[in-house]
Amino acid sequence: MTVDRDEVAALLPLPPATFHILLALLDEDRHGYAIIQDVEERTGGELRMSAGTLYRSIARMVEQGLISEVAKRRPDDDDARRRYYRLTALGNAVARAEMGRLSDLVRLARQRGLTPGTT
Amino acid sequence: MRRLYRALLHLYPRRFSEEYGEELWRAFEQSARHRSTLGRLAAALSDVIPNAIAAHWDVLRHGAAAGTTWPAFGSDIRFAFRQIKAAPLVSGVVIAVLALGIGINAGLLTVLDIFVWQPAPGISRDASLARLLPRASRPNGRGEKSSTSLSYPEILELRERRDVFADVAGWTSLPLGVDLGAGAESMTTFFPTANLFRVLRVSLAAGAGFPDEADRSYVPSAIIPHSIWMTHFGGLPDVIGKTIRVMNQPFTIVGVAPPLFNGPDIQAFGQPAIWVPLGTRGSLAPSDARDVSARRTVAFRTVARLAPGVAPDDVARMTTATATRLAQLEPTRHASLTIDAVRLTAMRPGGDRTETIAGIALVAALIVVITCTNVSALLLGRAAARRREIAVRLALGATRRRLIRQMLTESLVHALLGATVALVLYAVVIKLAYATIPDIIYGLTPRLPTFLSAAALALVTTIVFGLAPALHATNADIGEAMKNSGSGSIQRSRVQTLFVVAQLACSQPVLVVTSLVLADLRASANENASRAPASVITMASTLMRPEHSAASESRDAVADLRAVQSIRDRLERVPAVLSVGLSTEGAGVSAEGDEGRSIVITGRADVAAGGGVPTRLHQLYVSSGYLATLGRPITRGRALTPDDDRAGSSAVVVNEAAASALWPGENPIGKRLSRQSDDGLQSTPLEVVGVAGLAPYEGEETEPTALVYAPLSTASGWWDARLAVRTAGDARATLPQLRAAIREVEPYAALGDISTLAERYAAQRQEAVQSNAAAFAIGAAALVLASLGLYAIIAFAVAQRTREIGVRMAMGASPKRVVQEFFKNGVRVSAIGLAIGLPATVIGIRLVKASLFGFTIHNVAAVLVVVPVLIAVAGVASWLPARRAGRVDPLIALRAE
Repeated sequence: MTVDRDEVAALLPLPPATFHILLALLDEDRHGYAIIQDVEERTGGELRMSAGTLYRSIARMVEQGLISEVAKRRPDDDDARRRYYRLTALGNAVARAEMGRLSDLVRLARQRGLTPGTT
Repeated sequence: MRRLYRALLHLYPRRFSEEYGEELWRAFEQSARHRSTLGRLAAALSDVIPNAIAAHWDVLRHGAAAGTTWPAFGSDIRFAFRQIKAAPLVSGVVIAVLALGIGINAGLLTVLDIFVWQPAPGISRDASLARLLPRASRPNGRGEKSSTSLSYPEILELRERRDVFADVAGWTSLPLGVDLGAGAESMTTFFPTANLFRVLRVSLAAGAGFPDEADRSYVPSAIIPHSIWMTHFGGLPDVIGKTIRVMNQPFTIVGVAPPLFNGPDIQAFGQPAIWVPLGTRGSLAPSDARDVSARRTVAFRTVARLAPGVAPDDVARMTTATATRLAQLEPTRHASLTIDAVRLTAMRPGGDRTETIAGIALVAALIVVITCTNVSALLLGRAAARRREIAVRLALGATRRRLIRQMLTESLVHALLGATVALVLYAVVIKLAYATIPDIIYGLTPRLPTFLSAAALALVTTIVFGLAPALHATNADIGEAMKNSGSGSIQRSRVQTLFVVAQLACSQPVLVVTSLVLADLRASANENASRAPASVITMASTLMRPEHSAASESRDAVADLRAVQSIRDRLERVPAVLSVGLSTEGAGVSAEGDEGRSIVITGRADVAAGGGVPTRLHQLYVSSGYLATLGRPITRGRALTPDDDRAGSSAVVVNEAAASALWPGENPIGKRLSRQSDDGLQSTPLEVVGVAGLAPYEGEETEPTALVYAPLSTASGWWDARLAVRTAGDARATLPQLRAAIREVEPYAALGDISTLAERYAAQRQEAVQSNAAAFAIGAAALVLASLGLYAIIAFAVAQRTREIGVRMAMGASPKRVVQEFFKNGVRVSAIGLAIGLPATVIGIRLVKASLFGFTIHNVAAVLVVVPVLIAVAGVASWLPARRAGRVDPLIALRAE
């Protein structure tokens, strides 16, 4: 499946919440609260998304086609009413493009002699 | 918690909460499950409120992208901007018209706000502050009540009504001689009850004010206005404790009023006034027959702070019993007393105020109507032009509701853009005006609430008026509109004609009234004012000995005359002084004599006709040297001489207006007049010895006042003198010597209204220029507004009938005839509109007539210029597009739409 590069570029840069949601969905499909938990874990508790922020982002990401709702529930799902989200090909490409953009930025900063933690 | 969170979910856009509400709750419940109830409440609020706002913003920005049923609002706005871009001229006119309309209205509301709704400067707006308006019937009156004042004991008794008033304060005033260190000047002196500043919640800029016992005992202390603190004491805090002299008695300054504060009445604004305790009035005016603390001295205006829960309207009802008792205690002055109250505003209620409000409100309302008919007509015209497009969209399945919403969004966008332009204009104009003339519009700072109310009014009316074209345009028979876009033109043109008529009917009164004011100002301009000399200084001199400060009957005219003459003699010995003149009234500027004395012309039965009814002339008592000092030449005969200053002279000089009115074509020298006493029993013969002309700096008046200059020695009764002093060089520079000389002979002479003729005429001219500019700006803005709208409406209507013109010409009508017909039609419609507006114009003229000085038929003629201008605009607006249509090849015209 090919992804239009212009379409990807039009979505960059990503809002931080969107990027984190994409990261949370990289390895597996998750429901809303699981995303919140994953983000919190990965950032060491530094970023705690509120429910409102999460679903506002999800609504926009579904519209943009970055993620999609999974129609089939997993068999071991404890709560059948829960809605799961999955990364689309576009979402995957956008996440990688954003990563590239960010690492370019970091590289540029390094070249200027900037190191984290020093003021 | 669940119910609360679900309730909060309603804050989100509807479709969003429907789609994600359940998930939101689940995620929230799980992430907040370790928190306390309070913590969860806080988390819920801080989660939902900002995100709901952000979600609505998403909807506005991204429309459908945020997935709601309101997506189109964003696209409606974009569509509105596209429409503006597609028809920039019509949109530009709509926005300009709205901006002008909102701007003018905001200005008018600012004026209304300051004078009518806000309390006087320095007092903050407060719902519990009320002005008491006592009314009583006069003894032997016909039961009608008229407004009255209250006495000090009455104020004290009202204070006891704790259920009605938290506190009651009053004040009275007298002009007194106040010496701030450079000689006494006549100044309004307020005697407030000690609690006045407290009741008004006015905190002094410096000092502590009066102690409460100052109402009853002699505490010689004073509160000075902020302006005097700045000009005379350099704004330094050490002013407290310094001494000024009031009627030559030392008073200690105990306070400085806050900036701009000049009491609760705006009428006194601009004149400096000082405040001294009520208890000092007896010693400052000992011979004043009225004891200020007596019950019969009903001299106090009153303000009250109402008790909590009491509204001004309740006061009359709640004080009925008290008022009845007060009336019984003072039946001669306060028979059947009623105490009304109104919220404290700067202008005292009364005839003037009602007329001002009515006038401004009328103009404001008319401007709103003009603006809205303009906008509505333009939008209607454009909607009509888009009939086919609208029909196509309806046919393609767009709902009518959707289309109306889109068109209303367009109105809204126009209104918002207009309001933005207006806000900028309003702020800039007021800032500019404030920088140029701070005295006149001291409080005219751009006030956002005022502007917002004007803008809100315009927004609401624009949307309401925008509804008509939207309904009209979408109410089309689709098939008919698609087939033939011309068939709706009869109905459409009828609506447009209605708009033209309404437009003219409303703009006529506004334009006529503004140009009336303008014509009046122009007529009163004096072309020669720049020639007024700086070497002549005039001033009012009031003899303010404590023993006769206010009560005129106790003054001794002979002693006063002697005192004034000794002042003149002393002034003449000041080295730089060339001549000194004395008069009893305005030195040449407000040339009004004493109308109370009549002059009967003898030997001229036709002038004193009607059974010997005396002809009344303005009379000015003057000393010898008065006319020469002011520079008024003697054109015939002789001037009054020092001999005439002595008692017994019968010589008078008349001005040219009087000479030509009384003895047209004759030599007035030697003519005889007689002056009758008030009771008509005594008659003094007078002889005309000279005729005086106008000074070089005085302008020819359209209706000059006939004046008789009589010798000062023949003056009787009580009067205040005016001094006119001609010096070598600038008279301002000599003022300290003049003051010192006057003080030497008469320590109680209080000087006031000091200015050189050059200053006085420059100030007059300045005032005329400013009023001219203001009236011109309003008039021009109104004319532009009216013409712009009128032109756009008519031109648009005619342009839309291009197809019809094409048909007519195809059938053989000549272009000339078509143009003629459109032109005639335009003028006829305008004439109807103007005729309908006539009653409002007449009301407007009546309203301003009262406030205009020297209203003449000449002015009315000048005003009628407005009518042809409007008709001309209508004519040009119908002629130009019709001519253009008439020139087009019929075939092209037929395809034009």
